[in-house]
Parts: sequence; structure tokens; C-alpha cells
Amino acid sequence: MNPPAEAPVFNAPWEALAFALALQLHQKGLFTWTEWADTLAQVIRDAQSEGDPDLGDTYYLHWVRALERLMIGRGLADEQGLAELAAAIADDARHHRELQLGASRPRQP
Amino acid sequence: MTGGSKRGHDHHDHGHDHDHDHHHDDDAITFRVRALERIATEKGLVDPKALDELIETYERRVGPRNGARVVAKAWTDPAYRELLLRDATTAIASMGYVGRQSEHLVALENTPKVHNMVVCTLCSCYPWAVLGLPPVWYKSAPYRSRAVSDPRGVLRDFGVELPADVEVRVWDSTAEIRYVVIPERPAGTEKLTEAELAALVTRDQMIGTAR
Repeated sequence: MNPPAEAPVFNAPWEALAFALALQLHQKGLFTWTEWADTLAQVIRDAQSEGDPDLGDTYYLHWVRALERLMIGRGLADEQGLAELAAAIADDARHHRELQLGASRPRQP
Repeated sequence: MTGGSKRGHDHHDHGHDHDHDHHHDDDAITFRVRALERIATEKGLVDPKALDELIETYERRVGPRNGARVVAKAWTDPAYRELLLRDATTAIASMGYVGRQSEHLVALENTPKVHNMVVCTLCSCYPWAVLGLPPVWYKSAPYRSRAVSDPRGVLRDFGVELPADVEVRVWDSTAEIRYVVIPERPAGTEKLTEAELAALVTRDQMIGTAR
């Protein structure tokens, strides 16, 4: 008997990307895995104290916060720079979508 | 951007207004993670291709089937079982399953009188090399706390009623030490091959939430 089909490993592409980023940065020596686990545990405690019921579905949000904390802690980024870069990437994506929508709209006769 | 199936641009259907907040949340977090990726890439710390390979590995190649093969081998090969219980890291690596965080693996053998159960009370440490990535419930606060305070209650939630004379041992994983449970070999399986035995072993047994 095989066990029933499992839930997907990642529920969204960003979860997979955040997961792989942490692994790569660890492999490159940016932090030890103990430092990673300590940071993640602290992020989870902080989220719980801010009211997150922490049922496992917010797990990769914690993962992203831990990643941000460590990258900022290592001087690779700062809060404001990250927010600005995320906004710029969002603008690019929106522009890209508008171009796609424009291209797929049927031409008027 | 490389062509992995899970990455690249997210084509949400923006023609529908329902569920819009959810999409916006997902978009916002996507852009935050992309920002982290871009910074790490620009600093030469990550290679997008290596990221795709990692994702592919954990989505498709690493999972509880690895652990099931380890268990089946321990059931059929006494020398392997002895090595597994003495030095699980080496025994598991000998089958080609190697962890990425240089973590130490420990195999816990169930007996008629002892049931082992694994948790990570602080976050989600888990023996990736043999079980892949953990299920959502393993990462949830209720499991992380109740596995310690009321392991028999957790087992009942999983449909396992443990006889009173069976001792429950709960093991708290860390970044350095990850545990995997070796369930008891079921009765009447003497004629099965190693591969047939491996098909009997479930992920939850190897976490210790099934008997």
C-alpha cells in the first residue's frame, strides 16, 4: 500500500524561492544552520506574540522574515532598500502585465 | 530568469475580482522575495540556476521514500540495522542520502514497549535527507507544543491508541541533531522483499505520529 498523495511541497513559487535562497546563502557561508534555526525560531516567537496562531500555513512567511533579518544583519541590505527594490520589481511586473494585456487585446477593425 | 516550472513570472488571473486581496498579499510577498534574490545574486552569493536545482530536488527527488528504503534495509539486514542505530548519519549517507546542513542524524527504534515521536519545539528542524520537507502540521504551534505536553493525545488525534504499558519518548530536534523513527516491522511480512517492505513504511511512522 502506498500512502495517500501528499500535499505540494511548496504552495506558491515564492515559498520555493525563499527556501532555496536560505539554503544557498547557508552553503555560501553567510550563516551557519544553527544561526538560521535560531533566527527562524525567534521570528516565529515574535509572530506568535503579535497574534499569529502559527498553524503552519504562515511558515514560509516566517522563513522570509528570517531571511530578511539575516541578510540585513550581515549588511547585505537594509529595510528601506529592500522595500524600494520590492516596489521597483512590482512596478516592472505591472508594466510587463500591461504590455501583455495590450498585446493580447484583439485589434479593432 | 531561468525556466524552472515553479519560478519565473506568476501569471495570476487579474480579470477576476474575487479573491483579490489574497492575490495582492501573495504578490507583495513575491516581490519581497524577488528583492532578496536580486540582492543575493548581485552580490554573487546565489546562482539562479542553482536555486532552480535546489527547488527541483526538494520538490521531486527528496521525500519519505528515501527514509522508507532505509527502514526496509534495517528490517532485512542486521548489520545495517546495527550501523543505523549506532551511527545513522553514516548508515544513511551510505545509501546516498546526505543532508545539506551537516546535521547529525539519529535513528530511534520502536519496540513493543517503546514508541518514539519526533518534534521540533522551536521551529521546524526535520531530517530532510530521509523525509524531504516537513508537512504543515509538523510546523504548526499546536503540534510543536502538544507533542511534548500531551504526546498520547497527539497520537489519538492521529488515530493511534497506544496501550498504557508502551512508553512514549519524545525527541526535540535541533539544527544539529535530526531524528528519524524506525517503526516495528509488521507481523507476517517475512516473505516480502526489501522494496515491498519499503512500500509499507509511511512518513508519519518515521515521525512517530503513526505506530
